Amino acid sequence: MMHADSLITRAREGDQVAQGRLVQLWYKRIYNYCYKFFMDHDLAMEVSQKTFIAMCRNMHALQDTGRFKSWLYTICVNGCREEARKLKKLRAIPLDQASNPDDENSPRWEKSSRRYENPERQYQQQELADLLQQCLLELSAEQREVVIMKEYEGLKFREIAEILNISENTVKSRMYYGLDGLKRILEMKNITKETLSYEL
Amino acid sequence: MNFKPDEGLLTAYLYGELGTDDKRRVEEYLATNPEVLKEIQALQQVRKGLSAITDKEVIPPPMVWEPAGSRLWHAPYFKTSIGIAASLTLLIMVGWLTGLNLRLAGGELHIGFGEQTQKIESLTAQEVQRMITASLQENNRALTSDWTSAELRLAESIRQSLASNGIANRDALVKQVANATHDQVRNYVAALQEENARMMKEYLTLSANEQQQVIEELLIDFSRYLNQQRATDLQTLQTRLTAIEQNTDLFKQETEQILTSIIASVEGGNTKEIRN
Repeated sequence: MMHADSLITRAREGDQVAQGRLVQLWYKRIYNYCYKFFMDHDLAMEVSQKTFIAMCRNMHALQDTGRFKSWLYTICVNGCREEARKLKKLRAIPLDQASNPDDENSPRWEKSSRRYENPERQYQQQELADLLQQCLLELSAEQREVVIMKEYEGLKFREIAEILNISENTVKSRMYYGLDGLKRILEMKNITKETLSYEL
Repeated sequence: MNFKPDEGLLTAYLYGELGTDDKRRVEEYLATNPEVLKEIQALQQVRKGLSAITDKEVIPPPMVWEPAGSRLWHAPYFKTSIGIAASLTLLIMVGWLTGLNLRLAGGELHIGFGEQTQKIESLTAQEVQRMITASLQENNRALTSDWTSAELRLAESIRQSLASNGIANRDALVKQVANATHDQVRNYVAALQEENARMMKEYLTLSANEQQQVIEELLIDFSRYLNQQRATDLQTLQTRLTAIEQNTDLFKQETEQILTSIIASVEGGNTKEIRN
C-alpha cells in the first residue's frame, strides 16, 4: 500500500493525524470488501466505520507493524461476521432488495457511476456486475470471504490464511470450491462463457 | 507416476502461485487429463467473469477523535469506580442523617438508629436460683403459718359444735325411731313393694310392645324378601324353559332337514337305478 511503516508506527503511538491518514488510505479497500460481502451500501459503510474505530482504539496493541494489513482485514472480517449474525437474527431485507430494482424510484439508480461512458454498455456491464454479485452472495460466507480477498483484494493465500487464522491449504481448498460453486450458480442462471465474453 | 494434484495445488496453479517443479508436474498431469484441464479452464472463465465486479468509489467519512482528556471519563472501569464511590457517599450521608449505628461486637452485628442505649446488666444463673429459693422459702413460711391458724380455727369450731348440739340431736333421732309402731313400718314397706311392682309392670309392658313391633317388621321384611326371591326364581325358570324350548325347536328343524336330505338322497339313488 501507499504508506510507510513510520505512518503505522506513529499511528500506534497515538498520532491522530497518522491514524486519519491510515483511514484515508484504507477506507476504499475495506468498504469495497464489505460491499462485496453484503452487497449493501449502508451495511458496508457501517462495518467500515466500526473497523476503523476499532483500529484507532486498538492500534497500541499491534505488535508488529508488518502485520498491519492482515490485522486490519481481521478486524473487518470479524465485523462482517458479527453484522451477518445480526442480520440472520433480524431477517431484514435491505430496501433496495425489497423494492423493484428496475423501478424509477429504486435506490439503485442513485448508485450509477461513470456517466460519461456509453449508457447502453454501461447498463449491460452494471447488469452483469450485479448478477455476478448476486452469485457471489449465494456462496457460503466462508467461501465468499476467501474469494473476495483473493479476487478483489489481491491478497496472497498466506495472508488470507493469517487473516482467517486457518491453514493455507484450507484457504486454497475454500477458494477452489468457491470458484466451482460460482461456476454452478452461473450455469443455473444460464450465464454462459459466451455471455461473459460478450459482456466483457 | 501416480501424481494427482489436490484442490490446493490446482488453485495455486490457477493463480500462478506454484513453484517451477510443481507447476511442471501439474501441467504434465493436465496434459494427460483433459477433463481436469477443462475444469480448470472453466474456473479461469469464472475468474474472468468476476472481474466484471469493479470497486465502488467511496469518500471516507470524517473521523472525529475525542479529546485526550475525556478518554479517562469514558473508560468503563473509571465509570464503575465513580459509580461505586458515589453509592458509598450516598449511603454514608443517609446513615448520618438517620443516625444509623452499626456495631460488631462479640460476633454479633447490631444495627440501630439514634442514640445508643446503655447496656442493661443481666442476672447470672446463680442469682436467679438464689432469688427463686428465697421466694419459695418465704412462700412456704406464709403457707405454714396460714395452715396452722386454719387448723386451730377448725379444731375450735368442731369442739364448739360438738359441745353445743351433737349429743342432743343424736338422742332425738334414737327417740323418734323407738316411738314408731309396727303398723307404720308395715305400711311403709307395703307402699315400697307396691311402687316396685307398678314400675316393673310398666317396664315389662313397654318392653313387650317394642319387641312385638320389631318382630312384625322383621316378618314383613322377610315376607318381602321371599316374594322377591320367588319372582326372580320364576323369571329364571321361565328364561331357561324358553331356551330349552328354542333349542328343542332348533333340534327338531335340524332333524327334519337331515331327514329330508336323507330321503332326497335315497330317492335320487333309486331314480338313478331305475334309469340305469
